Amino acid sequence: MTTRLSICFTVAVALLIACQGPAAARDFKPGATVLWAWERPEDLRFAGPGVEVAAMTGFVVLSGNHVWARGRRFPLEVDPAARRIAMVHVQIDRRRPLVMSAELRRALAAAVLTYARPPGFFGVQIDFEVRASERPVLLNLLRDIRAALPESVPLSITALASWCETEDWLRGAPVDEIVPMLFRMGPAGEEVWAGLGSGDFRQPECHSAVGLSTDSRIDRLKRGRRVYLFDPKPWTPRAFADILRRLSP
Amino acid sequence: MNMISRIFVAVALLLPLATVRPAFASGPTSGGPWDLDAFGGGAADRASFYDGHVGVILPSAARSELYATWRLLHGQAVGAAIGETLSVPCCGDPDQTASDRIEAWRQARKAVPDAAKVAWIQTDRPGPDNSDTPNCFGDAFATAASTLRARIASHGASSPWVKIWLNGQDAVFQACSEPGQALPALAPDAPVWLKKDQAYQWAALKFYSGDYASAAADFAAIGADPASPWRIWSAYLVARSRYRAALAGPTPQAYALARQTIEALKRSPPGTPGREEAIGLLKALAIREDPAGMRKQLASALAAPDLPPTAASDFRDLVELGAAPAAETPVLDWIATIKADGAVFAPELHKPLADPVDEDWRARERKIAARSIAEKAAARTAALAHAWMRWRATHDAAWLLAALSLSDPDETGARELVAAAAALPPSSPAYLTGTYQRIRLTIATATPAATRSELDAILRRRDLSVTTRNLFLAERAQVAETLARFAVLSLRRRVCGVEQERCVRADYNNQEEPWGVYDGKGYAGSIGIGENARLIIDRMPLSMRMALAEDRSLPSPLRLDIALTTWVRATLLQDDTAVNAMTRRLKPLLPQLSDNWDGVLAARTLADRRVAEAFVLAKLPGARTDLADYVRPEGTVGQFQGAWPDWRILPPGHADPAAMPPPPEAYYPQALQTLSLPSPILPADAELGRQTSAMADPICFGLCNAGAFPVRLPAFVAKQAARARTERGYFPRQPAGGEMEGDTFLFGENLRGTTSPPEPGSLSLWDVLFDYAAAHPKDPRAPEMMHRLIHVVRFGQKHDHLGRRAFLLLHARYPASAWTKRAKYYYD
Repeated sequence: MTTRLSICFTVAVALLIACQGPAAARDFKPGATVLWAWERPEDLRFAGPGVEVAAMTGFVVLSGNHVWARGRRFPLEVDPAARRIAMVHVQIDRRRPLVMSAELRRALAAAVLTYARPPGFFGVQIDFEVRASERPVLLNLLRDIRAALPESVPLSITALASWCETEDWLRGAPVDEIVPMLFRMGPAGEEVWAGLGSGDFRQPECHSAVGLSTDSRIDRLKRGRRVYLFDPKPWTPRAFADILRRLSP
Repeated sequence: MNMISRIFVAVALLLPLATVRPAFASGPTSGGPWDLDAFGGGAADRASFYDGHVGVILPSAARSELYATWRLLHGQAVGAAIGETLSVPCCGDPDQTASDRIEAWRQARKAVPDAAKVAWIQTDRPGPDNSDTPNCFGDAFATAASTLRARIASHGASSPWVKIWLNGQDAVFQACSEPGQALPALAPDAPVWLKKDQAYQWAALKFYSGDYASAAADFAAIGADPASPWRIWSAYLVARSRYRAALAGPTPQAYALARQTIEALKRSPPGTPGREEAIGLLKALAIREDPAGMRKQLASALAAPDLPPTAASDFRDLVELGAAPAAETPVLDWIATIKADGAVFAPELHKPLADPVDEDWRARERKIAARSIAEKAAARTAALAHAWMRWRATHDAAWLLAALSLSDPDETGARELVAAAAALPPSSPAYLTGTYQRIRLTIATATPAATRSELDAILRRRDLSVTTRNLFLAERAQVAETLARFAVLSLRRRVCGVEQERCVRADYNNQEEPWGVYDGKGYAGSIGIGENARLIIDRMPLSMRMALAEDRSLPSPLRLDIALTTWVRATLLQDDTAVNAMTRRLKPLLPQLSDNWDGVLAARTLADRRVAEAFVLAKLPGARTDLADYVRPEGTVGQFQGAWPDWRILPPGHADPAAMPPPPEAYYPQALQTLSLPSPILPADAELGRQTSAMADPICFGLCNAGAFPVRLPAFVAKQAARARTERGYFPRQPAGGEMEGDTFLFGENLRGTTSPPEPGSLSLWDVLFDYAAAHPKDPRAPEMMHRLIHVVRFGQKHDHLGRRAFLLLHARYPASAWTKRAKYYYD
């Protein structure tokens, strides 16, 4: 009897554990509007609490065989209740041949993590444009960052439109969101827009968010995805109102 | 001064000043102009400018550059050394030096066995408003590295004392970002050198931790210690500590103490470390303590005949100190005016629209665009009124140039300005700008021969910068006598080529070089056809374009561009003779389509010809009737860029009489469509389109003048305008959408005007290709034709489920074909 009860209890506990489901999903709110706050003075309080802000909090350069990094230099003011994403911009110094090593990889991750976790920011976004030969650098960085971030912190990356359309190397990247940027696409831009007219990005991982600019076309936009907005000039209430007006359903 | 300005001032005044590099930090890039440069161009052009050779002024230049221009216009020297600092955004040493010094320290540490691993060192600490404040600078790491090397040389890398020293120094640098660090306690038998070094490390740690009073006391004690090797730094470091203390806790007492200490440093014997920093520290303090006083002082220093070496940072500080009475800072008044700054001259129109959001998307876009147009017009008008007033009051050439650049050709009062500009002697630094603007205002009405003569004289000068020469070439092309002369005048030299003529703009703006427009492949090349020349070429009739495509004064890549767009026109016009002539031209220019060109030439029937032509177009996504939106095919067929239009042939007699060429704004570089045009998205609205075009400047894209520059067609082109218009009626317009399709918004291509469903009786070249391939299953080209059509629909415009039909036929008939294997999906 006691053994039977023990078995039943054990089974019940096991069932209870199984029924908890996976850990709480990382939270990027679908359909949200997000303003990119780049490296210049920005006062985004006019946007209110309902608009998220992805602020550049770190600027990291891979230069030859070492890393140089700094934090944001310009003030950013946001509504205290606005959700904030720490966006760390990474770039490779093209004046020096990159000499990647395990040590440099560690240094890069350490630098990015330093600026990826300021207080009050709920998520992290990496902005790192790489050439084809440098893709492993980005993928390794994402793995390192993901491993070091708390489980509850969502991780996003910006992406060139071509990464979502004609390439699939981001498949399996340990990120919760990929944001294809539909502006400044250069000569291939028309092709991307035309492709969106007859469907969506080929990579399904790129279907949850999109990046637009206040001076770009915004047609062929699927509803329901997170929209990141860039303004080539510092945001003003008017520019914000105009883009919202244009995005209104 | 508001919070942002206060913090901005604080950041700007930190010494040494951190450099912010806007090109990297301002977001993604967009295409900029390749034949003009607001940053002064290459090294030679900049040097010439600093020497006093003022070319055509670009009001869009950085304010520091315009400040240099103001000086030169008033006969005041700038010089190369200071000029270079003014031509880039201020201030500070390049980040690379700090980065290298930090790395050198990291490497130096490794000489000590069992040193803790340090992957990376943070040198800033959290500041206000989500920013980070630089705390530790490159010099500190350089000093630490050299000190460590010296201690190792004296005591050995394995010395436990050296290890303790290193641990202490690591704690100091940890304090750069995190307060609350501490140094290891020293045993009583620790050597004297270590005790002295650690005293210095403690003072530094307190400094970086923000305990400035303690740091000052410690540095002072070190200065009083004759046995400390660090005593010579005492005066400087005490001054810096008290300076930082005053910034952190600005009270009259703190300012006074800081000032006293820095004055003492300034009076110290020559050779005292840090003595040269005293003046900058005093200035930075004074800006915080007495901004109005400092503004006057800076304005006076910057107007003096001789500039201090700190002119660039002084100018930046002057700008940041905010608005001042115009009389106090006339240069800033002039800069705001020549830029027609909307925030200054049309503040009311800066506010968001208050009315409800329109239901109809077209109405929304229209309203936003209309308000942008109104703001730009209002700012220009108000700025012009101010410039007039200042010129009348002063007869200062700088104000004359401002008024000229703000005027429209038909403006009341332009005549008086034109007459004044005509009176400028060639030796005047205002002459070239005055002449450029004067010609802009009069080119439509002046005698072409007189305009030619004047421009030829200028173009014979050897002291023109690349930008200035290109601008005058653009004016001269508008009065070209013949097509051959126009061909030569259409060419512009690239300002900053791939190899970089040491241009600074690549580092300081977010505009990338355009691609595929030069006499080389991709980004390579040094010559291109100017945008306003492209506009003129697009308004030429077919026969004239054909002749231009054969002109050998144009490099072959540029002849390809003209020949290909002309070929497309000839195809749509069903002018077989012209098609064949251009096909022969294109064979050597675009050999990737060799078989296709042969197919066109071999076609014996109308049907065969259309198939051959459609097959060509199916491989050329960037092909267009106009250079405005054409993308040059480069590389292999698979690498050609662009998106296919829905090519249609109209039956004879069914030309669209309302068809228009691309508007002037269509020739703007992408980045300047944003920055220079009143509305980034131009709605499909005839009236607003007309207003925008009326403000356009396809010669300088608004960089040279807020006033418009309507393009004048050379007489030999204007004479054939009617023929060109008739031909234009047979070229396709882009579709407009604006309808919901499922959960997708469809907006139209709106730069080209509106259009409607396909014209009745028009023949789709894609249907031609599909129908042929469907009816000729044994033609070996059929699988490729189907494959190409799937691609056309995928990256082009939807057309009657064509992609799906082609896919199904391809897979049904040619399952083993390589073309079929490559077509895994269709897009419908």
